[in-house]
Order: sequence, then structure tokens, then C-alpha cells
Amino acid sequence: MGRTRDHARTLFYLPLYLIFSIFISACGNTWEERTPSEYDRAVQFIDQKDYNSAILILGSMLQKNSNDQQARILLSSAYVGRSGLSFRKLIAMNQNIGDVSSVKPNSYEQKALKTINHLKSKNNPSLDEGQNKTLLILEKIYAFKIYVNNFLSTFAAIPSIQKKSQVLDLQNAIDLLEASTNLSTGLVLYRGLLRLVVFNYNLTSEYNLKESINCKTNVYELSLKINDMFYDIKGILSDLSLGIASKKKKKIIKDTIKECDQYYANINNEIDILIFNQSFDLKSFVNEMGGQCE
Amino acid sequence: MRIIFFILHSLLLPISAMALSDGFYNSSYDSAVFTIEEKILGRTCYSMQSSYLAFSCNPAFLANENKQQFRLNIIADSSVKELSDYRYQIANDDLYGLINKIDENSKKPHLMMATSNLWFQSDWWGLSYTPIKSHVVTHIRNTTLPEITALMSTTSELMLRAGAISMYDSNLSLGANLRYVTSEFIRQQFRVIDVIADPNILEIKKNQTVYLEPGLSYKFDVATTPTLSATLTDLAIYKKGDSTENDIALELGLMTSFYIFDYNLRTSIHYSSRNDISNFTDRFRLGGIFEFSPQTSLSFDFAASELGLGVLSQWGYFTYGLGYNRQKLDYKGQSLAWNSELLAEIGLSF
Repeated sequence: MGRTRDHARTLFYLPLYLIFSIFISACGNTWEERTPSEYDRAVQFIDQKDYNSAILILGSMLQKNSNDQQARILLSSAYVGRSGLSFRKLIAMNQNIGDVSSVKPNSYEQKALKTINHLKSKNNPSLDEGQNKTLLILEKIYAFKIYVNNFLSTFAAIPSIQKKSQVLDLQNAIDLLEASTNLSTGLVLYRGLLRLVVFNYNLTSEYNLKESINCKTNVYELSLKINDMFYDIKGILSDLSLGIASKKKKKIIKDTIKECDQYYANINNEIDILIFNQSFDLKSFVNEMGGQCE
Repeated sequence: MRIIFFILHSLLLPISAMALSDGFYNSSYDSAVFTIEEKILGRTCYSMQSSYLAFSCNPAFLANENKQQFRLNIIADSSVKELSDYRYQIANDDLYGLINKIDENSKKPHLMMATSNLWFQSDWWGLSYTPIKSHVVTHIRNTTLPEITALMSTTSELMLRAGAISMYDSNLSLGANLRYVTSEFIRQQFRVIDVIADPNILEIKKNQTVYLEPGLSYKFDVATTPTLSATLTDLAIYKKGDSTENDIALELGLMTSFYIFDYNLRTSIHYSSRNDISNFTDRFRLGGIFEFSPQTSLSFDFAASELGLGVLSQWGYFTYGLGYNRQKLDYKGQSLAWNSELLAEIGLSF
């Protein structure tokens, strides 16, 4: 009888005790962690492809605290998302970096180089000293451009972008990463690959020598363009050499940096002389390439 | 009875939830899964007397069992091929393959499991060996600069499980599991680009642990014989190697037993303090076993974010089972997606 009463008491108190204890033990639980942070909300928007909302949230976070590194990196990735560039395409570039010397070029620059050699070989007495010097510098510029083209073609397909708005988004992403301090090597690689995509676009627009070199070419403007191109490629190479894991690929990148430096040094000296003398004469070259100069 | 209160009190209060692997249920722990029934019941298994073909999780329940069996079992879910690919890629250091594989499954969190076991039970004690249990959970976020949460483990385990009736109170049973577990695991959050730049940050860790898991059950002499049980799991008494970060957990439950058309239905209301649960409501579960005969049983389990149904049966020396499990995974409080698993089991019983 006493034993049955004991059990009945137990049955009554036990659930109360359990509930009480469970609540006490759960007090240290993670309820406060469960509210998604602003970062989590922004990532959710990115994953839902609502990049504008993510950019809005992260932008305002950066306005409140300009040192917020996490917000800056996430904002950069939101811009990349809005540009339409997928991560898979971006890292695919990194998988296949080959030796520049193994590339067989076939481009406008190659044709231009042949034309220059042809003009020089004719030993044309009508070419004055200024024109000869111009051919010499053009030869070096085109050789550099061919080298850069060859370098780019060693990567597996670089994603092409068509719209200016895409380039602006990517440039915003790059600028944000450039403004970040203590980036991991992975993020440096990410920045390098983004730069490569933008550079590839610029080669067909801003750095398009076919459009840039004509009868009215300003030697000073051309020199600035070559300068920008050199520093762009140098930045890309520096990011890639830091971020690429493979020792073999690292060596290729380092060799490429040396070669680029060499090409640029050759051009730079000559361009300075040309700017100083104002003796840039493209008439014979443009005519030979099929254009017409008065 | 005071002793039960004392034990419960001392077990419950020190528990702290770590929430290391928010919402990836059953993934951060390395305990063996012997049958479909155990997989379906999940943590409710600790508060239920198993069916004849299964192996009771709470060692205290073995005290009242009367069975002799030697079993060989293989259980796998429908993602077994992918699981094998993951294992191959980890073993061969195929980082790009691994990342691409995870990326393919990026639309929702992915959960996979496969295991093989052999065990012997003689009434109140049992010995088991799990040569291999593989478990993979992956979740990818921020598709433009992917960050992966990966829990991948391959474990093997040797376990002794025993239970006995108390000398002082025949309704009280006590028992313990003694488990020796070796595991290789990846348990990391990382940016894919960081791993590409430096593959060494993806660490495959190794660990050897001995766990002691005491359990008790108390059967009340009233209709439906309610049985209160408690098991303290993952109490590591010896550790070597990298930390698995598994936390001691308490499994509490109240089992009741009914007869419907002469078939036994056991249900349990269960509470778990495991640290892989981030929602408080998910700590409570309702599970059950409908035993049609010693050779055939049906198991089911419901929780706020999980449900499962499984059948276990025997034909001669062969045992087989089928199950369906569905879990709603969350990550840091954000509900992600339901993950469904079709499970199959095949084995031998002597």
C-alpha cells in the first residue's frame, strides 16, 4: 500500500521536476544566437539572387562602420553576383594556367607586327628618322600586347562580359577588396581573377590598339594607356602569384612578371624620347595597315 | 526514489548547449547506428525498449531482455554512391573534385549516411563492432563567394553494452555502454576560394575516444507500464587526437506500452539535450514501435523538424528493413530545407 502511494507521488512530482529542470538546462541555450544577423540576412538575399537588397543592407552597414571587413567582403561578393559572373566560371580560370611560350598567337597585333617588320625590311629611304623611331616603338608596344594576349590565352576560358554595367559591378567588387586590409590569400586570388575578367574586357575596349592607333593618335595618351595596361597586368599577376597554390603555376606567374617588366622597361624609355621630341609619325604604318592618312 | 531525483538533478543542470552544428541533427555525434529502427527513432531510441530485431540504445533496457542473437547488418541511404565519391575524393586528396561535388549539391543542405555493423546480444549484455560508418553533411552559402559548412566523418567502433536490475528496487534498471571509437573527420566552415589558395586549411582530423554512457530506467507498476529513462551519452573518459567537440548529452524519455489487437505498441515522449539541436521545440520528440511479431516491427518518430517511418523484418536467416526519414535542417536559426533520405538495410541473423 505504502509502495503504491510512493509511486503515485512520484508520478505526480516527476513530470513537474522534469519540466522545471529542462527549462533550467535550456536557459543556456542558443536562443539569442537564433536571430539571423544582418550578415546572415544579406547572405540570404545573395542566395536568393536578390543582389540589390543585399547591396542595400551591406552598404548601410559599411556606412555605419567603415572598418567592417566582413560587410565589405560580402558587399564585394554581392556586386559580383549582380554582374552575373558565377563562382564556378571564375575558379575554372584558375585551374588551367599554362606557359605563355606554348601559345600560338593569331591576332591583329600579330598582323601589325608583321607589317612593321615588312616596312623596316624594305629599307625605305622615304622613312625619316622620326618614322623609323615610331616603328621601333610600335614594334615594342605590339610585342608587349602580344605577350599579354598570349598570357591571357593560357587561362581556361575567361568569362566574357558584354555590358558596361557588368564591368562597373566587377570594378566595384575589386575596389572594395582593394580597400580591405589583411585579406586571406584566397580573397587575394579572388580579386586577381576578378581583375583578369575586367582586364580581358578592357583589352577589347580601352586597350584596343586597333582603335587607338590611327593617324590622329596622341603619343602622350598612348603612353598613358600602355602605362595603365602594364599596371593592370602587374596587379593581376601579383594577386595570382600570392593566391595560387601550385608551385609550378607560381613559377610561371613569377616568370611572366619578369618578362612583363622587361617589355615595359623597353617601351617606357622609347616613349619618353618620343614624347620629348614630339616626333610620332604613324603615316606609313597606318597606310600599310589599310588605313588612309593625309 | 530520492536517488532518482538526485541523479536526474545532477545530470540535467550542468548541460550546456554548444550549437556547433546548428540544425544538422545527428551529425556531430559518432555513435553507431545498428538498424533502420534506430535510425528512424533517432534520439528517441534512448528511451525505448527496442524491437526483437534491434539493439536497445539505452543499456538499462537490456536488463529485462531475453534474447540471443548474432547479427551482421549494412544500412545505407539513397545517397550511398555520392558518399562513396566523397570518401574517394578525401582519400585521394582530390580537392577540386570534392569542392565541385559539394557545389553540385549546393541548392540545399545535403545529408548522407552508410554503415555496417556486427553485434552479439545475450540477454543482459551485448558486444558490437562497427567497421565503418560514414556520415556527410554539407551546406553551402553565399553562392558568389561560397562558404561551406562540412561535417564529414568515417568512424569505427567497438562497444560493450550491459544492463542489470537494481538490487534495491526491481523496477529500477541500470546499465552502461562502453564505446571505443576511432574517427577521421572534417568539421569545418571554410571559403572555397581559401581552400583553393591553400588546400592545407582543409584538415582531415583524427581522433580516438572511449565513451562511458550510463543509463537507467524506472518502470512504474500502473496500467500501460510507463517507463522513465535517462541516458548520459558521449561522456568521454579517454581522448586522443583532435577534438571531436562532442558534448555530453542527456536523453530523457517516458515510454508507455499498449496492446492493440494483441500487438504491442510502445511510444515515448523524449527530450534530448544534444548540442546539434538549435530549436528548443526540436528537443522534444515522439517515437514509437509497433511490434507485430518478434520478426516484424514498424517504427516511427515525429519532431517539429523531423519525421521518419521504417519497417524491420526477418525471413529465415535474413533480416531486412526499409525506411524514410525527413529532416528540416536549419543553419544559425535560418530554416534551410527539408532533406529526405530513403534507407535500406540488409543483414543476417543467427
